[in-house]
Amino acid sequence: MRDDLLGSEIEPFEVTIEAPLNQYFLTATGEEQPYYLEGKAAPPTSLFGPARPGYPDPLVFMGTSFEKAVMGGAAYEIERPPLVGETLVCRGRVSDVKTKETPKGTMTFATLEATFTDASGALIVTERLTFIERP
Amino acid sequence: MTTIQAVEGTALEPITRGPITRSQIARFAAATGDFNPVHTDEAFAQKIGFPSVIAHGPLTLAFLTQALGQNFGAERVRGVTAQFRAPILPGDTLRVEGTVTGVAGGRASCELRVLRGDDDVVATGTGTAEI
Repeated sequence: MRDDLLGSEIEPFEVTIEAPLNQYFLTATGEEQPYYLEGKAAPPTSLFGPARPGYPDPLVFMGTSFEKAVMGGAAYEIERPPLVGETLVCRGRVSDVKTKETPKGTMTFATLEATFTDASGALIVTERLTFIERP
Repeated sequence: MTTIQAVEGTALEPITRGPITRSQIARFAAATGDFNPVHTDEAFAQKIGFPSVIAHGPLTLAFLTQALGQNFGAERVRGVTAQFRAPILPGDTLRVEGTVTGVAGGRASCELRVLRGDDDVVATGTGTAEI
């Protein structure tokens, strides 16, 4: 991964919760909860979307590759579920970088933290994705 | 609406997901835009050491969130974390279990785990929900 990773920021971008994509996510995850199937709110985990317009490929952003890195963990803090049709602003940065020495070499753990705020500026969801780069 | 008694030590009502299929993994890739070839390209996945394509970690996280929602109400879930301990493969059937570990400030905290079969823990995590 890049040496200057910690604190690196992603240019803020807008995410609109679109009904068709939300429906596709509900189908892909086998969602059964009526609260989401009504189509008014979206599961917060549906904000995971490295190819959303404006969101860089996280592995490329961190200077690693498909061959070397995997996702080791993920976390969401939820103030409220996003609403279908609303536009959120995403701001991301690398919030943590750790290394661990192993017999095969150095493993790197990097956490990409993204916040999603609504039109009033209120925080809706915080997402943390931790990637592990193998030696 | 909370459907379980939020008392420390209470087991969550488990949910079962699967068998996971290659088409489900492909649908999740399309829904999220995560086309990492480890999820979509059998030859690539095998080249880097997996027996086949693997499911996305966030798909597992979605299952954990669903388990919390089924127990506490979808709109009441306030947090979920997951550590992915083993790759999830096509054909796997997963059972999401959990236990209430604490209740404070109008919220219940839970430990969560995802099992493949009877005792193969493929992911662990935590959850928080309003009660």
